[in-house]
Amino acid sequence: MVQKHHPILKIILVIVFPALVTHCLHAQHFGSARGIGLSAYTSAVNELGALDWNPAGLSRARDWELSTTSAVLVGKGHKVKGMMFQTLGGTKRILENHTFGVRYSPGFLLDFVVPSTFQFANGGQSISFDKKISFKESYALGYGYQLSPEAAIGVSARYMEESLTDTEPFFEKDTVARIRFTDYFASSWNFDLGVQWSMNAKWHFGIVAKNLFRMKESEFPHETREYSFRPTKTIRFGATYQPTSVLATSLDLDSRRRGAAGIEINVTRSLQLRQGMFFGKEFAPFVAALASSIGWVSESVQIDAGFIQFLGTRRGAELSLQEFLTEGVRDISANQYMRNQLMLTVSVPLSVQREAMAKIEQVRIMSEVYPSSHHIHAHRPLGIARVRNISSKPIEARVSFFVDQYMDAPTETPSYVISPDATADIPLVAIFNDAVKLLPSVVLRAADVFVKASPHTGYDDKVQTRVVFRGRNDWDGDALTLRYFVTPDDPEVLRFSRTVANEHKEELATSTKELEKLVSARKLFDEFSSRLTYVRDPKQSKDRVQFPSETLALRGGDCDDLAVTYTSLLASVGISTAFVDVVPPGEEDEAHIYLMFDTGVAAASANIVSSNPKRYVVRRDFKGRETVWIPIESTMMTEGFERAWEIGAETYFRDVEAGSGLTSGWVRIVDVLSR
Amino acid sequence: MKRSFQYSPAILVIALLISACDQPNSIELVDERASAPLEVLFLKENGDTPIIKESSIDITGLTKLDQEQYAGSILITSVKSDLRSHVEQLSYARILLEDRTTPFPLSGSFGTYSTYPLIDVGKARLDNSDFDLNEWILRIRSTLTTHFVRTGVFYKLGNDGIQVGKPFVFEHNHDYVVEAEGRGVVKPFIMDIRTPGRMTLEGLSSRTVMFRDEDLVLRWQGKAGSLVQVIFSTYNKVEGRAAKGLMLLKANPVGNSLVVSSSLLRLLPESSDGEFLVSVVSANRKTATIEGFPHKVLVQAATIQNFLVTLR
Repeated sequence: MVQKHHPILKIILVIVFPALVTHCLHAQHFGSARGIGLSAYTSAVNELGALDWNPAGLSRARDWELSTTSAVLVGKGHKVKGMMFQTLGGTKRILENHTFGVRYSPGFLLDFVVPSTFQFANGGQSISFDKKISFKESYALGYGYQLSPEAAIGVSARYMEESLTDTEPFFEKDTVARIRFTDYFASSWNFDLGVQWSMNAKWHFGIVAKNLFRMKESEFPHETREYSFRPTKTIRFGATYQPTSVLATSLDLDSRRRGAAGIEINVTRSLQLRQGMFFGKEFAPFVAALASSIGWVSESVQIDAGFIQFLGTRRGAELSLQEFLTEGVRDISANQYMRNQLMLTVSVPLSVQREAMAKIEQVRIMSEVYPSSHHIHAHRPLGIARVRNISSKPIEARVSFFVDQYMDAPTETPSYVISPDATADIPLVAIFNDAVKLLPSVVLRAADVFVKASPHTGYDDKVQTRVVFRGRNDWDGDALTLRYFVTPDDPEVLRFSRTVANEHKEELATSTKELEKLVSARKLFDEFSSRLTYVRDPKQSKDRVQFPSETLALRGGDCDDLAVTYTSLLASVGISTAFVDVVPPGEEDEAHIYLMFDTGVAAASANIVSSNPKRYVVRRDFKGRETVWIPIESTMMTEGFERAWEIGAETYFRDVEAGSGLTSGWVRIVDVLSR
Repeated sequence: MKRSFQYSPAILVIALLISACDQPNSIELVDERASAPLEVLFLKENGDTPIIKESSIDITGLTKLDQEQYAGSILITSVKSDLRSHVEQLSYARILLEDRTTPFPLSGSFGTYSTYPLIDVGKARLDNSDFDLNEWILRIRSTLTTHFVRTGVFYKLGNDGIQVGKPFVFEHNHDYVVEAEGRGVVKPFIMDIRTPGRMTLEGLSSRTVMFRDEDLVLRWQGKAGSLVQVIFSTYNKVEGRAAKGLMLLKANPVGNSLVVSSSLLRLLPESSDGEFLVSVVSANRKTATIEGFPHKVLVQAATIQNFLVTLR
């Protein structure tokens, strides 16, 4: 989380917002534009609107986010005057699990006027005696606590102010009619308690107890109590089903038999469309309102525009006093006096650190790095990073991997699309430089793993892990990687093979063309075995392999070393080779590797190599040409070519022909170089 | 370019706030019980009672202001009074035209004042019934004697509570035709007026007890006239008549109910027994001109219901 946001922008916003809102007052409201669009928001809310919908949603709100909402009343009979400021607030996360929300909402108000049923006609001048009632919820506070990655609780407190201004005539000195204003005030704190729980990546639930507690500071006198705010304790349950990262559906139901349903479609990573409706038995018609919204999110701003259309016919500028006195106002944020409106919510992250969208939950390094075969990690995963999408939107995550000194630059995986709250196991690949080939022995190195989630730049999470680098001669025992020790281009190898060719050029010249490779191989073998001594591996044989130049310089090695070196010599003169990897079932300790090479003799002429078919192997190359291969037991180096061939052929016949090792899978032929 | 884009969110939000300073109008909560606002007139501010007390109770449905405004009046009236001790019902019609162009002085014991002569319109009929011709005679008291001054004639049918004339029974929803053959400068005229429907008040009778801190809701069955007036007066038990007009409420209702706010009831003066006379007038009115008569003439067909109620 290193992405910095424009600091000057923050200063502008923080200074200008309060200055502006002191000049802008009063509007009807309906929470946030996103909430309107989805309509059923109890289980899905994850922003400042949680103060109304479900305070547990605060725990999923972004760190240091400033949010403001305005609205325009739409339709006939509303005496619309323009856009109205509703709310300004922010959320702040502390210590990962604690999130606080504060909202100043001068627009959360309802103003009523009860026109007088009489007027004085005094000298042609008409005097009215209206009654004015006002409900205002200017402040709200909330707290959300993340119990676990799946569960959160929250509480919110909303400050309600009520005022009633009555106008009455009275007689002064029993003759002159005057007007007398009487003001009544009341205030209270109303508390909500909510829970959100994610059963899995697809199912999310929420429950909120609205107006669970009420703390009255003051109240209207008894005779005017019928005009006072009447919050109703309500339990609301919500569920969200998110079958894919593109689609989410929500449903809310409450104890007053009201409900809402909505759908959200992520058209792109930055664009969301929502459609919802509110319904209930107490409404007429049953579906009371339809709502839509569109959301657009970028790195530095989120904009949501929502519209709600009420379907009843009673909406208008004039409503019944009798209904008001019977029903009262029970909820300032959603009530029967709401009007069709277009809402706009703008949210700006203020944090100097960008809100993380992805988190690395686990990094698992699956293998050690063997210098001889280090380049296989460019495509074969070295490990896996488990990445969780901790945002509310689908993300495209890429994971980078870097080991200082042994890599020139971090490697980066392709993008993986991860749904909200879902995880993905992303394989880690690495491109090491040649420095690893200089490692004399095992070392442990720190490796950095980063995850980046689009569309933001910078990384979202970083963890450090450890990677074991083996010494340059270490081998993992796999015949596939043994071939990486084969170095036909090594100058020492080339010098050896050229020397042998020169020393035996006459003999080689007299051989038939068909047997040229066999003769060359025999001469190389003889010369090689005559100059080298077979020694036991100082460690376990399969763990350490000498490079051919080392074997030639040391004039000795174990069977692996000799096999690798002889293979290199054969390859240096253009002879194709292969390792025969034998792991007898149930006898893994008897695992063994020897080699065979291609004589180049066509299968039809195999008898010129040997009249005994058990002495050779016919293999088909990629062109479909069948040639004769000769197995060589590398441990028989010192016994001479014929003996090594004989033992090699016997071993091959026993393991492959008689034992069906190839078909059973316990014998594997690994071509060293492409044929 | 990139830098300006970075600041676009801030600019957007500021623009949003600046543009969002408007506010909606308050929601009007209309009292559905009140089909029209009442126009209030405190009668004590007008010097004395404007209710014409030609009888023990109001029988004209006219205020003093009406009387001052219209020199001529043609009334067709039904009066029902529930005064606890007795119930009275009468119907009458009247034509009375004052010639305000020629006032003449009257001298009495309290000084000299003037009055207007009443004009003779010749033989007059209401539908097929001839009006009785009555003389309007003022009794003038001086220090030593009392003499009578004849000011003119007016026309009457039925029982006005003072004198019983030719029988006349008020009919609701009836188009009455008034015609006269004219006399002198006054030319013959004919005009019509429709009487209001029967207005049956609910919850208001002589047994009604009203409270000053509760609205008085007047509901009725039937279609009222285009003008409804509610008049609160004190009641003279000894004389059995309205003593002093206090408050006049006037409305042109579109429905069948009106609300007298508790704010208004609280303005009524305290009385020892808490008894008030409430007159509910339902009237159709129009103005007319008569050739040869220089003033406008009020033509009114009205029902008047008087109740003696208790206000606490």
